[in-house]
Amino acid sequence: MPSPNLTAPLTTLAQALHTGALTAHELTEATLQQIQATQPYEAYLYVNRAPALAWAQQCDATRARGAMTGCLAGLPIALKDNLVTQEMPTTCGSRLLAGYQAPYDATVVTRLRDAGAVLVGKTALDEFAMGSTSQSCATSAPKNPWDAARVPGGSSGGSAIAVATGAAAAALGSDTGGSVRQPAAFCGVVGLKPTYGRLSRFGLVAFASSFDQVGILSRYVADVEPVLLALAGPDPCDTTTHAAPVFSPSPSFPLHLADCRIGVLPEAWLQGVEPELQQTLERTREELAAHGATCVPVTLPPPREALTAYQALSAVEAMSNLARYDGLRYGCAKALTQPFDARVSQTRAEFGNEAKCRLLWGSFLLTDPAGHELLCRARAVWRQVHDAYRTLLAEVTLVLLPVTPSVAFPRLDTPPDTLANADLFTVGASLAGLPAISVPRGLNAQGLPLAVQLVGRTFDEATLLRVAQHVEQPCHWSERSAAELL
Amino acid sequence: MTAAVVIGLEIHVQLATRSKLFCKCPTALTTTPNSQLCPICAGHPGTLPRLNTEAIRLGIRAALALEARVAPVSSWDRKHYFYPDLPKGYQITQHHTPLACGGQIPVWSAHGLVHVPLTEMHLEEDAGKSAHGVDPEDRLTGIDLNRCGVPLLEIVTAPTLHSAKDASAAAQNLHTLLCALGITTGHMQAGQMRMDANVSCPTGVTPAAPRVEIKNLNSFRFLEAAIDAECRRQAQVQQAGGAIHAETRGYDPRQNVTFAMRDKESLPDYRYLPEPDLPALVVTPEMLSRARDTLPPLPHQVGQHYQRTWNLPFAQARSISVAPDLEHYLAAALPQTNAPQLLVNLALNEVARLANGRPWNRLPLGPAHLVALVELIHVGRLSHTSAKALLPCLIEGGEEPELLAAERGLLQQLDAQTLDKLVAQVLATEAAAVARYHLGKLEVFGFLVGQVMKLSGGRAEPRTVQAALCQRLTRRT
Amino acid sequence: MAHTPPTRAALEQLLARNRLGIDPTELETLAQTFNRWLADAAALPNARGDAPATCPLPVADRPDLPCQPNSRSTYLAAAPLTFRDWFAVQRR
Repeated sequence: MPSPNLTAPLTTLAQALHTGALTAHELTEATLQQIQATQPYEAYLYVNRAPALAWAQQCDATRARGAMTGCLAGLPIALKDNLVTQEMPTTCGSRLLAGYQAPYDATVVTRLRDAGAVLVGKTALDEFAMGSTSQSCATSAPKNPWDAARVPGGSSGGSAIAVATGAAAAALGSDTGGSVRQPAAFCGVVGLKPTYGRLSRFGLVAFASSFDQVGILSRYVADVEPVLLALAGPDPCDTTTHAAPVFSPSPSFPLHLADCRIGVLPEAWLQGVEPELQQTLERTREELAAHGATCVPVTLPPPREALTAYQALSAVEAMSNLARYDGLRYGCAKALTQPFDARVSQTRAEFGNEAKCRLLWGSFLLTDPAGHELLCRARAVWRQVHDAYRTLLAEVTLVLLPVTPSVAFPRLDTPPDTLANADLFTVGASLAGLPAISVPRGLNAQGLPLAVQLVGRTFDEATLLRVAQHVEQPCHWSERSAAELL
Repeated sequence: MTAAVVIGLEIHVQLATRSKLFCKCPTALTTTPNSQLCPICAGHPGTLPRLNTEAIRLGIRAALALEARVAPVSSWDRKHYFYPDLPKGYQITQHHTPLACGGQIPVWSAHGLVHVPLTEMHLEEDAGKSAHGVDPEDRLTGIDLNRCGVPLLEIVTAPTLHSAKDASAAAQNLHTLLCALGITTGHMQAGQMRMDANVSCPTGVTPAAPRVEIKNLNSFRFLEAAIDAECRRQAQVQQAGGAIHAETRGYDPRQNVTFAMRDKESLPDYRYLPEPDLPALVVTPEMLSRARDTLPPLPHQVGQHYQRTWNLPFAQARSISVAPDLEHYLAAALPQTNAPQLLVNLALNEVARLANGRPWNRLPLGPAHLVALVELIHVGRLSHTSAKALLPCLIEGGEEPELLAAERGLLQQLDAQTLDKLVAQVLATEAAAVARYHLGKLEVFGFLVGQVMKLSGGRAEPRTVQAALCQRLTRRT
Repeated sequence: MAHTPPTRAALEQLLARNRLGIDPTELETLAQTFNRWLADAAALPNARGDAPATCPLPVADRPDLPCQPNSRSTYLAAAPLTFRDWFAVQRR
């Protein structure tokens, strides 16, 4: 039996499993080997070897009996390490949760299991999902598989690497201000942030509750749908989930692009975007127009303001959500013989600088009267961006815009402005709570992935995925020679 | 010259739900620490709160009973501080838009009904318990998180109380009301109702006096004593020429003084943040009308009704008003009786004592039988003492009082006519004594009563005899 | 309202309030990022009168999210957590 093509579409792998051309055990074993082979990119924090193989075997046995298997049966899926799992440790990339074993599973994890997925391991992330490089991970320095000197993006860097390199058929990440879309763009894979409330956050370790959403990373747009279907649906444990009808248009339902109105932003709005990214954006627009879509010039509030507002709003919620990490009930604790306050301070000194900075900023905004006034401004911008997108999406079906101003940037000595602007174009959809997808658009001259972003109407992931399928240009990492691996 | 004192109360009431406010852990009292926990109330990563609607229902019920305005939309906030008994590092409460505003506590006393105005009431989750000094060196504090997440209704009075006694009365009446409505089980020792008192003593010199908050008083006695102690302290400080600072203090019942709790420099900074994990709380008109429909008459309304209708003294009316099963019993009995006060006396004293805590609706001695017993006394066929003697048997047995009395030979067969004849007889026989009575020797009356009693063979009821005798004697004049 | 960067002492106090022990060398780096964010935020337009003063975008404003109390159906079915009887914390 030839080894499976691990970078084939998930749907192809699923088909092979279904027909028996491939067994779950073979696929899982091959994936585990690939995880091992791509270890230099440091995508994984934990590999779930034995249980994954056991589960895969069970899967095969069920299939052999002719019994029904779940829609994701036997498919190896990776989980960002801020999704709690009973079976595997959950560290959130932080020293504070070193060795933490959660007493429950995240709802999306349970739903993956119910669908038969094989959970192969936990992937690296920026500490507590705060960052755009994944480099603030306490125990790992994830590297872009297209150029190891560059970042994979963040905070779901590990998941993006795993998917790009075939070390998972698909992966879950989390997106708060761009943390699925931006690493997807940098690693040449598809990254979907669903509508806020589409997927349960129960068991997703909170960073900024008003914006956090579980996201899906895959190599092809068509691969997103089965995962989304398996996960979507209201969860009584998360009161912010939506009781909307489950997303389920049949794949054969034709979407006529001719019925689509695509909002495109003016050049001025795209100031600072690298030329190649601007070009691919333009080419995408042309392709959509050639398919019959109407491209409509639109405008949105300045992205800089949205980014600043997001930084403030997310910092405030981060400060709140991270207040529970005091080492008393779980996680790593320091200074056990010190009085309470000192003990807590020394434990929380273990936060990385990125985290501390945001906690500090969030605290300032809620404490200081001057800070509070700034927070009010940020909230006003939030309302503005939210309303602007909603108004816009009453006129157009989707908005087309970049994912990031630049392609994947160097890991070391990143210019501060580049770093600061990483989320410039992704925060808008986060503030508006809208579904957004990062779609790969091949490689640039340096062999680095290009991408574009589509933002859709609330709970209309269906249209988003259909249109995205028309413009995707997958980057085929497996075509790179093995010698180029570290 | 007594200094004026201005008091406001913040009362935290544990709601009588089965589960906690944001998870399904039980709220039942338990002595095993940390045995009623789940990832949610223990603040584990990734958990989210999920609202217990029974708590909302009870909160609305309380608000309506206290005549407060229930907000059609209220919301939740996070109140942050670091303490070992606060797992999430924040408490979920309602800071910006509480469940209800305004309202009043009905304070009903022998002097009548007054109202203590309320500012607002809101829902919040309770924190855990800290037990200081679980080690011999008194350096460790034991933490029990069982209480984390238990639903609380915080009720805030306006600062319109002016004495410790008034404050205590307000708190007690609130307790009575909320227990009667099943909103809380109100076990004070278990801390199910905890009070904070804000005390300020404006003087001529400082008309806008700073507020001192005395926290965590869990008995009405302590509440009253603490306020008095604090007033004394403030008076002493002011007399010595010092100034009062706004601060938080505790109360030490052993020394009967208040003591400083927090460093007055570091005022708590709660960094309130709207709770992003919970949608707004919408109370529809339908929910309100359903709640109103299930609201029974309030204790003070019941009590006042009994006062007015049956002319009962305050203390008795109050006892009845706080015991629904007793009230139900009396509601059946009283309309049937000719001697309501007598019936109530008997019920609240002898019967209650013999019932020994059993619910009134389960007593074999039903309302009809008690009415019958009372009637026997009332017409003079049974002496009060004899009635009391019968009660232990009637309480258990459920027999008809008249039959039982007859069996035991306690019935005084004397009807009014026979008695009258006996009285007439005695008056005729003791004409000389009667003449002395009419000349002003009133002590003869007792002798005459005794003679009637002797003649009746002890079957007459002294009071009935007195009445009959009196009647006859006055007729003659 | 002036938006001058906070003093080192003010930053240290903020850190203490958050129980974030910090190395003095780290404070410089933190201050730089902090001040940049402060400058960015100060450049935001002043909040108009109709801006939400205390609440963020109410969850109710998000499309069709359930806005009423949930029914009391099954909650989390995890086993109760147990610690040793009292878990003790040093007070002094």
